[in-house]
Amino acid sequence: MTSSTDSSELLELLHRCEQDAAPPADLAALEVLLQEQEQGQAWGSIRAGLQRGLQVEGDLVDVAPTVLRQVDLAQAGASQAMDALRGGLAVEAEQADLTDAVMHFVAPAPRVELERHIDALAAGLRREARLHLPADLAGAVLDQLQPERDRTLEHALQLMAQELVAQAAEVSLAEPVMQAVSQVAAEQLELCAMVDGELSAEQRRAVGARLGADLAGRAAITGMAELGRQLRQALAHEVAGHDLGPIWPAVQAQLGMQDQASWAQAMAAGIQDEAGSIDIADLVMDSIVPAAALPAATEDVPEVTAAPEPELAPEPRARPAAVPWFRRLPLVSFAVSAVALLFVLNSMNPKGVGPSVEPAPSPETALAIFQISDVNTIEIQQLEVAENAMVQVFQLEEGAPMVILIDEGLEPDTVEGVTL
Amino acid sequence: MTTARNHFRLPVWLLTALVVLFMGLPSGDAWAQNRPAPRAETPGKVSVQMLVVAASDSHSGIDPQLQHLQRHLSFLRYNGYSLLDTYTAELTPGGSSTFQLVGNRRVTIALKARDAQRAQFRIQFYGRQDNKLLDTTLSVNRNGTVIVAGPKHEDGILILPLQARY
Repeated sequence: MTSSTDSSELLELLHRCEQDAAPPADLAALEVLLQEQEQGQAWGSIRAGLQRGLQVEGDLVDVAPTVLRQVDLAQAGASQAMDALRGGLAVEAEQADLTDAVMHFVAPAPRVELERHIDALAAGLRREARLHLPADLAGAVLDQLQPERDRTLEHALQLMAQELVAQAAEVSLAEPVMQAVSQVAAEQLELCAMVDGELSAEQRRAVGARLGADLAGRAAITGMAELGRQLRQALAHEVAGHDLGPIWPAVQAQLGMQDQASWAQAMAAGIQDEAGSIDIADLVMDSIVPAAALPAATEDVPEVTAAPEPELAPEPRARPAAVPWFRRLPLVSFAVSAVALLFVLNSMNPKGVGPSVEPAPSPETALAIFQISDVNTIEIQQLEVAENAMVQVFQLEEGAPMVILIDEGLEPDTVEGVTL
Repeated sequence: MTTARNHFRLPVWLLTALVVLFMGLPSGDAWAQNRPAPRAETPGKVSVQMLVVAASDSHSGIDPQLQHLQRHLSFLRYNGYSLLDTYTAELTPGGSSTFQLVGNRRVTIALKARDAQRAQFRIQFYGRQDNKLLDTTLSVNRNGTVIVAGPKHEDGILILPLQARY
């Protein structure tokens, strides 16, 4: 900020100094004027450089170093230079496209990261060399790189998780999961089916044979049975106070099903519709009359007796020859005498008379006698099983009574086997 | 006289029947043994007792008489246990007894031998069609118990705890 007045005053003072005619005050004034002149020249240079940089380079990225160089040179006028810089940048920023400038600084970031890793590697090497220890370079390097690696891994995992989430939306996991489950738990499922009675006879035989030498399997099946018992007990306890009767009608209604009475009525109506006016009485009587017309049973006609189970019907036997009633008197009197005698003897002996197979006289007696010992050691020396049956022998715990489980499920009149 | 004697003479068949009946009666010692208490041990004999327990899902709860068996019945999946019958038999070595079960089944138990520590039994189980399903020989410790289970009964099964006491 010099003026023409300052310049003439400066020249006059210089002239007097050259003639050694200048008093000390003139020398002080000369020094001040020289400093101001120097600052003015620095500012002029700065302003000229700033203007040149802004005009020639045209963007903020290249302008900044140019300006900063000018500022460095203008040490005396730093504050003015910074003011000019801020003003110039503010004006320039209004028209500048910052995208390129930003990207210019962002793009070198990977290189910076790499350099940092190299620096870390170098630091590790230097440390190892400085300590003169056996060169565990990897450990030292990893120590240096660990934070970076963790951060990288975390980032990578996040990316993988995002990708997996995106991919999982189109993947059905049911099949691979069930495949894994079936492979892992096949034996457990088989034991469950055994406990629930869902296996065929052949399968039960196979599982039973396998369990004979499989302590873990026996323990597992026992645990399942125990778990089932506890669940049933808990459920029974839970539902004990609830009336479950209305549940089925409600479900039935939801399913649109008719109740049993309605089914019967519908069936009867259907039969009546089909039968129409057919009178079945004649047909029935035609079937009955021939049998009723058979001659009375004789010695040659076998007696047919009704039996609750066909397979238990006794072999047909011939009816004994008719015997006059008076010929049976001795036998009748013998039977009466024997019954009377047995009655008398039974009254004398509460345990009764006859074979040793007899029911217990009272539950209290049975309860008093039948107490299971804590130590039960049973040794099976021989075991034969019918082809249509299966037997399992196991002991729940040491000292407990041995259990011989007979599965007669292969008998012709049974549908399924016994379940534990 | 002759007529009078003939009038009071018992028929031969009646005398024979009475003799047979008395021969079939147990002796006085045997009666004493059969009494529940006090229990006197008969040398060489083993008292076999078999309970017939019905396990079912048609009801819940355990028969009060079977409370002491509850722990040993826990391996079964059923909710209710009822005592149907109790059978006892005094067996000597070589002797056997047959117990008729519900469902037209039967169990034959034979005592083959016994000593101070163990008794050896042969157990045969016959199914509904009188076919032998199981034939096993086993030895049980003195006063030990073995449980035969599995025959189907109604909606459940039968459990037959068998005890040898001597």
